[in-house]
Amino acid sequence: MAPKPNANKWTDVQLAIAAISMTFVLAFWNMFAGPDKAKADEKAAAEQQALLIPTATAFLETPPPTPLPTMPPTGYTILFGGEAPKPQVIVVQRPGGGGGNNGGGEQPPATSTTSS
Amino acid sequence: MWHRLPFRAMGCEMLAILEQDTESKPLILNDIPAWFEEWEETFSRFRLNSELSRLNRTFDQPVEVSEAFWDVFQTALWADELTEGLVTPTVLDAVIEAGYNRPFNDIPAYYQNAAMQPTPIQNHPLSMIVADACSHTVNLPQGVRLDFGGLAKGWAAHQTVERLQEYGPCLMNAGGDIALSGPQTDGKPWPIGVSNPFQAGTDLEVLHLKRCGIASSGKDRRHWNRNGTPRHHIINPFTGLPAETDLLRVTAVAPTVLEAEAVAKTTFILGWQKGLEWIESRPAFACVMILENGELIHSRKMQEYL
Repeated sequence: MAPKPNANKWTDVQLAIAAISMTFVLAFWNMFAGPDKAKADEKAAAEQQALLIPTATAFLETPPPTPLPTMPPTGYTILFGGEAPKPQVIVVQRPGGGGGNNGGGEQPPATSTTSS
Repeated sequence: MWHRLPFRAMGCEMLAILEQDTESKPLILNDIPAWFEEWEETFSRFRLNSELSRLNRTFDQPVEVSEAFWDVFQTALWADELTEGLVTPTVLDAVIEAGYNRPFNDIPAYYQNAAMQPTPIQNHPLSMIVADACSHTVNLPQGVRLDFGGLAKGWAAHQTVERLQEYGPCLMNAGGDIALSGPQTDGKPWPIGVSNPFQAGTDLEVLHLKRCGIASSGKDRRHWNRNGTPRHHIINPFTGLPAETDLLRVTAVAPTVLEAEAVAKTTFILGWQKGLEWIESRPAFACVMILENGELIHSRKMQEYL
């Protein structure tokens, strides 16, 4: 039995329609999606620029730098050998004699004793 | 009001204060420098013709001494007994050997000379001195010389107050040895400063005292350097050398300035621990000790005067 004479022709039409549809879809995609990308690029560039330029507020809110410790904390003893340093006792002058039971502090000293 | 008379005698600054309600200065104050000149002529070891110097040039012969000299000599014997020999008038050779061989202001701060020879006490030379109370004669054995040192200054302060007190409440500061006649006219105690050895012209604290004596002994003032070694004038009789002590100065309060002088010197020689024990066992005395590191130590009785 002989094949139908127009079978290959219908297949060709289907292929042609599919090709034209894809071409139109790509053409319209490029036509409408292109401007959005440019705007998106501009917006992204603007945001990036804003991050790179510091503002005065940003400086004020930055906490001050913490100095590196140069002395050991109180209570630590570092021994380098040799004699340990002696504590220095500071004598604080007593203002006005400190009162006591004699009503002191009212008069300045009449005189002072010193090594004879 | 307080009438003050500052003057200089015995190589020290002196100050007499007499309290009277008059505006003009009491005339009796003007007599005081002459008293001290007379006493210096008796007790100074730096004056060749003083009574002390003349006696020290003799030995094995009784020498009649003045009333004042006899009085101070008896005080020195008493001080020697009180302090078990730590305060004794027979350390003159050791003082000179240490370098105190001229008035203190003439001693150079640093000088070099022969090495020091310790002259420790042997056989307690004070007991070898023959003194006759009836004739007021003193007989020094060979090799023994006297020097009353600060005791003579304390005695002079005591004598001054004895003479002044009939004119009103008074005090006499003889180079740090202070005698007080009693409270001020209104009954208040006298405020007496304890000078700060670390800062001239200031006081560490103020004591409030009535009838008593105050004296200070220390190495903060009369010290020098000999052959590279620090020296001072307070001799330990048992070593013959300047006392080795951890104290810088002791200020003592006692019923009389004579006792205070002996107590201050004894405590200084003993050091703070033994000195504190010594003074706490004698309830009539009080002291404040200044250690070399600047720390202050008060005896129990001293709290009453702060």
